[in-house]
Amino acid sequence: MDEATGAEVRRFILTSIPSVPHLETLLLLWRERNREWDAAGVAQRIYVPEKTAAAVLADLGASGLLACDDQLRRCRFDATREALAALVGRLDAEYARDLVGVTRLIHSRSSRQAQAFADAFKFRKDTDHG
Amino acid sequence: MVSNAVLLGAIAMASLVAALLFLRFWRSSRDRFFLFLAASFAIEGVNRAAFALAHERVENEPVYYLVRLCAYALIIVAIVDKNRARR
Repeated sequence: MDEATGAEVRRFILTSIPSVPHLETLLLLWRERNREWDAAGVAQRIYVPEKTAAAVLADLGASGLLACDDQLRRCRFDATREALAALVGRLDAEYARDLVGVTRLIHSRSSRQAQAFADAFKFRKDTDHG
Repeated sequence: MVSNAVLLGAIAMASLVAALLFLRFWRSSRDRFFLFLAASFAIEGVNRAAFALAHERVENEPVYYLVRLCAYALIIVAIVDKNRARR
């Protein structure tokens, strides 16, 4: 992975992925993007309580990474968002290559705050990764 | 002026600590923004230390201000680069 791609993936993790279940859910829905998912289905696949899966789906739906219904209960990965799909693909590869590194990055609170500090100097905010 | 030297030393140390912090953030995020800031604070720290250690401290010596200007310019470069960087 080249440096620019690595930096983009790291930035995406720090700004958009608050926990490992969020990451696993996003990757699951990206891998199986031809179907719709509810909390029970996600919970079964990533081995978390259904309540956690529901909260994660709602978070990812509210942040715009997933396309969900109005109650944020049923979600799918919007495959028409090519830029986001490509980015999540690179994240998937990075997670497979360096699971410990990605997990550490997710749990790194100071890095997250530092990234938020750096992003505060952007005049135009990125609201959509697609 | 011992108190001035102490203050200059404190400012130099604070700047160098800030530089190290930004360097650490650069290592974890690989965001160039932090590298520019680290360089800026490192230059500022060394500049203050050099001024404090100078035998004859001439405050209006232009070289200190030129170096400081470079350090501050790096902060502007960091912000411009942040906004020009590829998404």
